[in-house]
Amino acid sequence: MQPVKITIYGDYIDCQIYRGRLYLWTFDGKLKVYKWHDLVNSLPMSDRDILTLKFCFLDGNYLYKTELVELFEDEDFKPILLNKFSKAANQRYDLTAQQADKFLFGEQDTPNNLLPTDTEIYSSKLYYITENGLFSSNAHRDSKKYPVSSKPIKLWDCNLLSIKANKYPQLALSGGSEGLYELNMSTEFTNKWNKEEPVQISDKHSSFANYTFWSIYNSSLIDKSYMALFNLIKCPETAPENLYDIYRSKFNREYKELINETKIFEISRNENYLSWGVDDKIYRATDSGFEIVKFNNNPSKDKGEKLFSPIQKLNLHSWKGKVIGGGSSYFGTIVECENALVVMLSNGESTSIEGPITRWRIYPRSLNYQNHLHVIKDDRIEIFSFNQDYFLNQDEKLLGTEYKQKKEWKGGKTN
Amino acid sequence: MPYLTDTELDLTPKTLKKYFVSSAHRRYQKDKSRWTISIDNEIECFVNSQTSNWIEDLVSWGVFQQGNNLLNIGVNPQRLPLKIAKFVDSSGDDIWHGYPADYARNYQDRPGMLVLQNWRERGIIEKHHIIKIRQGKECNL
Repeated sequence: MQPVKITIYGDYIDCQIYRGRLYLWTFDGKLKVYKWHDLVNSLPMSDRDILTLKFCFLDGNYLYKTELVELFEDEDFKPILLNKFSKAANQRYDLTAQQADKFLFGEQDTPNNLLPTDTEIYSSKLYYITENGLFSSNAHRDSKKYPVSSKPIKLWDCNLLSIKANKYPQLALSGGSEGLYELNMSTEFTNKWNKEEPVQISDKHSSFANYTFWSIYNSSLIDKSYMALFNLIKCPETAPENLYDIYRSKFNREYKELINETKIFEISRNENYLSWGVDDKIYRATDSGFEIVKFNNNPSKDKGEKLFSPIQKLNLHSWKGKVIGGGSSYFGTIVECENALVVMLSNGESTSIEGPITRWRIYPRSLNYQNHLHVIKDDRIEIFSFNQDYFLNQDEKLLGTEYKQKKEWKGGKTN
Repeated sequence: MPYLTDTELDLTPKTLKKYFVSSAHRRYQKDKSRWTISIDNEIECFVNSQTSNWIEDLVSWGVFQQGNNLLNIGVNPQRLPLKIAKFVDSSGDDIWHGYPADYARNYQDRPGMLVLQNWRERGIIEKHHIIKIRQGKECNL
């Protein structure tokens, strides 16, 4: 199934999408914030396409709902929805910068007047790195003049390569030859890692990192990659008085060990291929294809479960240049090559996006944009929506992160 | 007259800055990158870096072009080719020295955004190179 795509022309260097707003950093130093829903709703579409584009670009979580699984298994209904996605994929949705600007929420100079090396938005805060360090600014503000605060706070002065946040929030900080660090701002986990300053997790080389549940998988383009394994242990001193307290109780996140990729992938030879991990799967791109290992963050010894279980080796034709990056969302796994992005879809198909590519982003931890892939090229941003994953059995798929229904609190008081 | 290594060189009128050709970056050492271009070209690269104002405090950055191509200027200890030069004024006394920068391996060997933006505006590199350099990813410069 082909992805659905929106193209916005312009000279962009970075992008984010968060709570109904699209953030685009332009090469000439502006940060433009767009009303994403209004922009999508302005696209030329018939009444029959409205629902499809909503699923594609505005509410990517909707079709994962448990109640819909039976519907997708229905042999009559499934082709109807697939056909609607295919039809949308055949449409062109192109906007010039001027057309997109009709949906501007606000525009401002880039905070610090310096283009970012990397950005993240979590909990209404923009985190970004420049050669001057790590900064945070309040984002998603009501101000049209400054949708992002123009008074960023400097969190650290290290000249980092990349950052990755999760919901707690914790920030994994890749410092290249300076190693892997973490800034832990979580209020849910209490331990020695909660500091106002970043803590060094390892002095081994770090190109980029991502969270595998509450552990971190560190990827290195220079050296061996590794997992920094953390265990989550319930605090004994916060014994719950009622069920609500169980839901809200604090945990200790305890560092256990660094596990080298040679152990994870059971490599005997001294091979140097890039590997990366996100939540339940760890991937390794070799000359001949792809290796996938399932990560169980809480293995039961009684059941004979292991932390790492190899699940597949895929033989593929060669990559389009050296593999220099990777990531994973529910819809599939992205392999960044020197000359292209290869998207290995969760249904086993693959698609290539030709380069040169300035930057790409996925949003697997967002609430509504898990199916998005944003690709910045020389004169445009292409916003792809992949939609085959809703129709798959999440337990059985080989590629892409396993979608698990969010736990809902049933009973007790809620805020 | 050929330039001497490990000697302070007066480069006026090209630049008022003095330059020190370090012999440590002209022979194989296991932990240092090494120039493979001539000393004359190393100095030309430095002068161009200064006159183009590719300067960040006590550091400046350079490239060596032939037409539209960036030439290899040196190799790292693993003998991989390097194309970006880093010049430093370590003591802040306007006496500079330089070496081929290994942006993929050493986090401090990456030029900042303003220099990279200027290189793109001058057609020296393309936009996609900027993020790859800043994130330490190999690319075909």
